[in-house]
Amino acid sequence: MKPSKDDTIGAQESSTLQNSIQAHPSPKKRLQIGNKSANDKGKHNKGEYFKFGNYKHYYGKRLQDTDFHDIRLDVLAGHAELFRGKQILDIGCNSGLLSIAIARQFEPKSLIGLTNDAQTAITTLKRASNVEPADPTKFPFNVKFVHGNYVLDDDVLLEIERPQFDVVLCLSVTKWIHLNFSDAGLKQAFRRMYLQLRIGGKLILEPQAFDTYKRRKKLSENIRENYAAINFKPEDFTNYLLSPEVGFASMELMGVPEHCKAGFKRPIQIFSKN
Amino acid sequence: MVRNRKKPFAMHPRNVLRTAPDYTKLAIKHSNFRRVCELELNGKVRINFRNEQTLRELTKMLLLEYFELEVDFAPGSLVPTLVLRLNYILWLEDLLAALKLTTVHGIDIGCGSSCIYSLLAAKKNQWQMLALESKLSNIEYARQNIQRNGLQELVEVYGQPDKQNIFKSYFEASSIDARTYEFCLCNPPFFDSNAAHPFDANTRNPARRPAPNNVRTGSAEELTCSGGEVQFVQRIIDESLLYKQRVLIYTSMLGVKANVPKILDYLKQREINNVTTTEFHQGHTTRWAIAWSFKDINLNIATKH
Repeated sequence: MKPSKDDTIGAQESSTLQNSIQAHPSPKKRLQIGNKSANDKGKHNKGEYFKFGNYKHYYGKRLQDTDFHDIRLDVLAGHAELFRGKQILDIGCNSGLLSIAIARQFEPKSLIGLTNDAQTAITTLKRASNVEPADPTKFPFNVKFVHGNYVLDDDVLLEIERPQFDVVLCLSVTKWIHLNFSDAGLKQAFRRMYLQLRIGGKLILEPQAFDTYKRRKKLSENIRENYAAINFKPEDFTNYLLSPEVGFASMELMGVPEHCKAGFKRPIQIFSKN
Repeated sequence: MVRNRKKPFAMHPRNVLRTAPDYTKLAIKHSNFRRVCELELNGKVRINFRNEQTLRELTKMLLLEYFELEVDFAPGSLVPTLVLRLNYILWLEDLLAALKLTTVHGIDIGCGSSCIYSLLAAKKNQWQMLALESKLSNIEYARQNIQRNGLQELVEVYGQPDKQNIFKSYFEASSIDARTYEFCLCNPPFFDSNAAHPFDANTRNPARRPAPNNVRTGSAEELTCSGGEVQFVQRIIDESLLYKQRVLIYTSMLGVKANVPKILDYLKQREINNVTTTEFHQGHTTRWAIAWSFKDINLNIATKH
């Protein structure tokens, strides 16, 4: 699998490709060091293209074996009862690989994945499906993908949001919501997640740490402005989610995935709505 | 009527609702409307047209948003769809265009609680309207709606004492002021109260004519009458023969296509020859209208799409 442009964390300050080219074993990229600047025609739009974090090879970083096995599945498996027979929303599911694995392994009643790339997700689902009878409660017929962003055009629309899910998955997505839609957008998203959960429902949250935001700040003008204006930090998330403004009753830790790349060791939290 | 091949069932070209409104933006702006909308996962709102309250709030919102009209409907009364009402008004504008009139007087036969045709005509075109209505509660609401929108100078409601006649009561009562009107318009009660199943669709092919996507609103009184729309429009025609000089262009809508030739025949039998018909298209619904005149004016206008 071709290494994505998302390289090792911590080391690089700049998000320009010149630095990351050094880390790439790809001969094609090495050729470009001397001849062209990092802002040549083929590259300058890349930031815009991935500004929602919708990397083509996102799931490549989390593989354990050659078959798709996201390490997070092991953590989630410790709480399988949260998913069986339930209605799940997966926010920002990218190509849908993890959603499909969850739907297949944990047998929810239904799983809806919201993504900026429904086309790819649907194709992935089709490839994962070689099942004959169309039982709506059995994989893959319990999976659906919807194209769109989670943040609403205006907070007032929260007035008409309704409980409809038992579980909301928000894995490695908060950074992208935060950078694209600012503090206000992320707070609104948290409120929306709460409102969409039924009583007794759970939010499974895997937020990125703030120090990983910086290298993405140049992806677009909008992101640059939002990054500069951030006051609401990841360490504030838990308090906010448990406050009356959102209303979750409690939080517990689900565990940290032991993983090859340090950058992906993120805690997974469960917030409960009573 | 010229038909555009690309959009055979398009609305009138000047209909402000020809491009679908952005309901999500409108839901953000109007709180009462917002409350009857459903929020989808991708952040757009969806309207459930099968709910009476939703239809009521939708029409109220559109009237406010596009015409700055604040309209209230009597509970249980007919909720008009704005698109259709606009199509009718626009057709009348086209019929009158050639006459190049500075003032226009029209009659609204059966204005309902909303008085919507008269309000639109007055607000949009400054036409002076006489609104005829027989149901007491509707009269009350209609007057309040006119008052609320400051259109008392332009719209007058006349309470019909006798439901059997259309113009007689008013014309006889106002013989001193024998004003002439440029047009009359009417949304007759479509259905026949004498029929065994007044609301049953008389379609030959139910598979290709599915039930409409919305819910029916309105009281029995507003929706049905003895003999349905055919007899109602026949009464308008009969009275028009008595008052040939009082109204320049008589018009009425018809809800059922099969009734159009019946009315055309009725006009022909009475040797009324200056006649035209049109169609109103709104989404999946088509309505028809008929116009006739005793004067020598050209009713055959081609609406360009």
